[in-house]
Amino acid sequence: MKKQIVSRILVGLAAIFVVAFGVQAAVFAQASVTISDDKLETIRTRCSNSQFALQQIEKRDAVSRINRGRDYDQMMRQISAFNSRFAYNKINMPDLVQISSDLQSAVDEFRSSYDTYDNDIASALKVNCKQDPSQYYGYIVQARTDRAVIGEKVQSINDLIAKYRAAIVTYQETL
Amino acid sequence: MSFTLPFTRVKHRTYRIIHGPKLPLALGGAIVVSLVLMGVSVAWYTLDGSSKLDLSRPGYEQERAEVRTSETQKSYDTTGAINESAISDFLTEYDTRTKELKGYGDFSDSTLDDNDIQLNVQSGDSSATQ
Repeated sequence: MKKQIVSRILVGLAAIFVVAFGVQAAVFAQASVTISDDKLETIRTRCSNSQFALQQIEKRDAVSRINRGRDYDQMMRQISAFNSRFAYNKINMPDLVQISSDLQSAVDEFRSSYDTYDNDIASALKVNCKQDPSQYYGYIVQARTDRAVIGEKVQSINDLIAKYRAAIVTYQETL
Repeated sequence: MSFTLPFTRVKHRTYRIIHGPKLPLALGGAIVVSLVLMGVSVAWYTLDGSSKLDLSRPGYEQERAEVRTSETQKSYDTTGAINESAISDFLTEYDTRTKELKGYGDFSDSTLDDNDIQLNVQSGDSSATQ
């Protein structure tokens, strides 16, 4: 009986290791891309310069992220207060509430997509690109994709900001 | 006998610590608690992403200057009337904020191009098969 329990525990542990290793292998595979030999050589020779440039980009992006985050927060507070004002005056504006809710979700998505992108950059900076240029470039490719996602989120936030303004102007015209 | 002796010694020592002077115990406890709290705060700082946006770290002097200085938290009236003037005030601030946002990077550029990260192949095949 005891042997059975011990063997079950061992099988369970083995399964956990297999799953964990599999996930790690999948992540590694995602980061690795097939690139030309010329490119590999370029990455090897310019490894330090490239990582320095990447570091500068990361710093610049952090400034944009912080400034945007602050302005979005301030804007959300202003919008939320104005919605409360409508409610206090018993003016039913469901479209404004909906746009605000969508805007909050979009801002949250912007933040999480930036975190994903920044993780890619951090991973690329950790790789020894002289030894493993393919993995380094894999992270760069992934970072480009994730950066494009942030760009889309920023665009959707811009659209919602414009939509909210248009709704307010429409109401203003009825006064 | 040889197994019980160390245990008895530990028991006596523990008894002496508990019933002895309280200052060393209090100091030790304070150090342990502060270490645990420090560990929790560092883990929190790292895991919630604050560390990535912390420009007070060394090497970020130039970026610190570029970050918009945090203005005092503005409070908004939630119980005033909705009239022409209130909407105008709202739109004025809203437009100022929108204009500010246009001045920041919008992540839609091609910043991570091979040229920007010094990986442009001057000759030969530069295309990467992905």
